[in-house]
Amino acid sequence: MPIGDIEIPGIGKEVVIAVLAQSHIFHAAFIAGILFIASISEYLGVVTKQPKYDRFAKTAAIVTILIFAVGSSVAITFILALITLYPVFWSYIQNILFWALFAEAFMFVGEIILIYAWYVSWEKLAYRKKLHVVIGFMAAFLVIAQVTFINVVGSYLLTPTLAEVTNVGATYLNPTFVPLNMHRFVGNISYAGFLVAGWGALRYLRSTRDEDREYYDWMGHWGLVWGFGFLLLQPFIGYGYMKAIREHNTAAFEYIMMGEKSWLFILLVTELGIMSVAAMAYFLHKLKFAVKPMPTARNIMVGSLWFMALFSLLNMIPSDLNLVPQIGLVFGEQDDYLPLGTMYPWKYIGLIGMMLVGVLALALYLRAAAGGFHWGRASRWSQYALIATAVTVIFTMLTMGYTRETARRGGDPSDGSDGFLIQGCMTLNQNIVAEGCPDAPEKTMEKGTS
Amino acid sequence: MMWEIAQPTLFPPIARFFIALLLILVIEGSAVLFAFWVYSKYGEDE
Repeated sequence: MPIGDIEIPGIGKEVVIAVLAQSHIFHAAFIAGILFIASISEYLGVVTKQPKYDRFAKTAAIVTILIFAVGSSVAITFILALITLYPVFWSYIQNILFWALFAEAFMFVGEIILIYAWYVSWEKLAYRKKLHVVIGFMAAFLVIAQVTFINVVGSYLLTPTLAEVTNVGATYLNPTFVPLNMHRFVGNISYAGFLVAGWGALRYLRSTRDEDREYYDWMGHWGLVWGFGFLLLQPFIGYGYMKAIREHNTAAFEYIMMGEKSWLFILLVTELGIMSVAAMAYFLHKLKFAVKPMPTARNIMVGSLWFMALFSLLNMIPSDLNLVPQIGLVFGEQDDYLPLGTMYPWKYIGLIGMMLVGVLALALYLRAAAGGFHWGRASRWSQYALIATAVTVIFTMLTMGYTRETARRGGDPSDGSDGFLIQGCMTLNQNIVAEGCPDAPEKTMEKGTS
Repeated sequence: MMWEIAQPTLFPPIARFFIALLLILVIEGSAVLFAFWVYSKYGEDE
């Protein structure tokens, strides 16, 4: 039996890999984000002496431990499936990116030690709080470092470095590594923030004690500030990421932005729009409960809400009516452009507009928050808005993960398979198709191309 | 050899896409429900 020729009946091996990888990311991204938010919250608890920060951080630590075990077991199952189903690919990638994966393993051990130590020492180190805060920060940075190192693998597959594979530095700093890393660092925090907001909202709706209502009302606000605040950076960083993909993997760029899968962008901006408008509605509602009344800010916020909705709708206009060819949603010719539908200038206007309005609204909201809110009096609908952001952010993560991986179907491998595992080098059927690959997928100046 | 046996059994890509979504929901849903269950039993100890 040739190696790597195992197939899963019914669903195929791609589905197995996709399901396991995505399930793992739902856990891992949350842990990366929540550890960052929670360790800063714990530190804020020390600085401000407000007990809610410590209560939040400790709850987050418990949740992190529960999620961490499940997330790691899914990761191990994922690696097992990858070795079994794609052994040729795995042995190449393990060799090319040995140091990155080696570092992963060590950081994993470090995380287990630090995350659990952070949780169990909460009471014991109550009188050495600064040491405890440091443990939390160390755990957070270790997880962020781990995300960084796995991004080397993720970005390498999409845009293999132009240097030879033994050049560890060049492999590490492959063309889309830095933008992907920024995108995911910010995205993880935003993702965790929205989930915290959604969880706070659920608990708020179920709380009866005044103390709990105040706490969970605050928790929804706290999660949303992180979620929405970091979300605002994403269009800008995402632009840089797409630009890097366009320069270094044109086929993938065209596939996800102009070709068969361009509906993914429309789906993404729809999700962005839902999260932004829901966040705005929440901000607007919350301003009612500002300790110092801010009528002008409220008026500006009403305007911001409308502008946000307007810019979101502008982003959602598809460029043509060849919507989702995969499921037959085709109402017109491709490249038969709709008015206001093209990327340039309309979607740029829409995205920049959303960011500017968002920054303005968040600044106003944070100013109101600095003056204080009357907690525990938020309406049910404001909490539904938070839950909507949490549900939508899950689908956004799904959309983005699918987009990055499906982009490699954009190439046209010479062995007739449906895409690349390593772009331009190894196909989905695990055949090496490029000359001199994976030593160097393209001829480089350093190697003295002939 | 396995590929020859398995290929005719594969569902169409769209069906596989939605099966993948469903499987993710099942895995995630059960993980989250498990976490909630443990949390409600042992979580709020303060």
